[in-house]
Amino acid sequence: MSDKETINVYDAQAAKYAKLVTHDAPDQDLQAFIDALPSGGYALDLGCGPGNSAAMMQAAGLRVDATDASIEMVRMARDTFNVEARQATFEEIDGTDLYDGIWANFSLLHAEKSDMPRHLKALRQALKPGGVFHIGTKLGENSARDTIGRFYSYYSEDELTDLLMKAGFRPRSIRKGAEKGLDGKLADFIIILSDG
Amino acid sequence: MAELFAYTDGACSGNPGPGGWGALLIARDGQTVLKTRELSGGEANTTNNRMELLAAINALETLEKPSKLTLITDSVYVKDGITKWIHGWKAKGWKKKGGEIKNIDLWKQLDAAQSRHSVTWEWVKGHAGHPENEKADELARAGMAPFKP
Repeated sequence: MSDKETINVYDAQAAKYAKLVTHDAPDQDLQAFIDALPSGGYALDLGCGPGNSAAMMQAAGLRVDATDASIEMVRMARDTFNVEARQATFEEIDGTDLYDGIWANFSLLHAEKSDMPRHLKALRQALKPGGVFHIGTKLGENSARDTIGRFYSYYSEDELTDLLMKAGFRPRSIRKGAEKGLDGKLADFIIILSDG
Repeated sequence: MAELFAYTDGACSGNPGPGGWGALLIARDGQTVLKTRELSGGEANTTNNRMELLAAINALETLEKPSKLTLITDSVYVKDGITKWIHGWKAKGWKKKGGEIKNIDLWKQLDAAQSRHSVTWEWVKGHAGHPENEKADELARAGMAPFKP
């Protein structure tokens, strides 16, 4: 079940969020993801937000299926970054052997913990053999709403790597750091690139 | 007046092999520690030099604002590369005499990361009892741990 309140926050704050996450060039994680895909490959940007990352993937020659549950984000991706985004929740991702890479950058952390194994299984199935899977989440325990109303599931490094491995992914690289989010708070994060 | 320091280290088990990187950032006012930040990561198949470079890249990229800082590495490769060799490489359009530049992807990232800041680069001997370098080493080993068989 997608969290309506979280989607409402993104609908209401799409422009502010876009300003926060928009870069001129791929950061190290996006570059590593692009480099791991075959030339002209097909990527799923799951929770594409304003579409900045999808636009940079397109600029690097990839074909991108950009999805977001927030209609305002989808509009922004289309209007601002010329990305043919579509509105879809995590539940609506299906298919088999479709993508060369899946980019789930700080999106799946809005899903209930109990739904995570199911989502990861569906993504593993949608990924082609030899594909790569990028996931970014905030580090921590349990689930909570942040000060602006977004629902978050927090994971420890061990918890997340276990979930990935149980879904059939093999972590290739891990990066842990800290960054300020839309709520203005410094938060620890983890990014894992896995082979599917 | 607060001063900012970043201590970085890389680790590798086999070269290439599983590796990790760690960075400890400290804001100090004299002897008083105002803030610290710990960063780490690892890869399944990498080299020691790549991990040393990633430690420095991550330390610089985590700073939201352009900052004046001292970055302390125990890697001569990183210190000499970023303070000496890189000028020649860039002047030749990212090329060097007698072959390709190893880890050019990461050198370009490091160059971009440092361009936002004012960085003083220092080298310290590793495993020589410097507490902050030891901590960075500990973070690098923790970053490598998930990838060790």
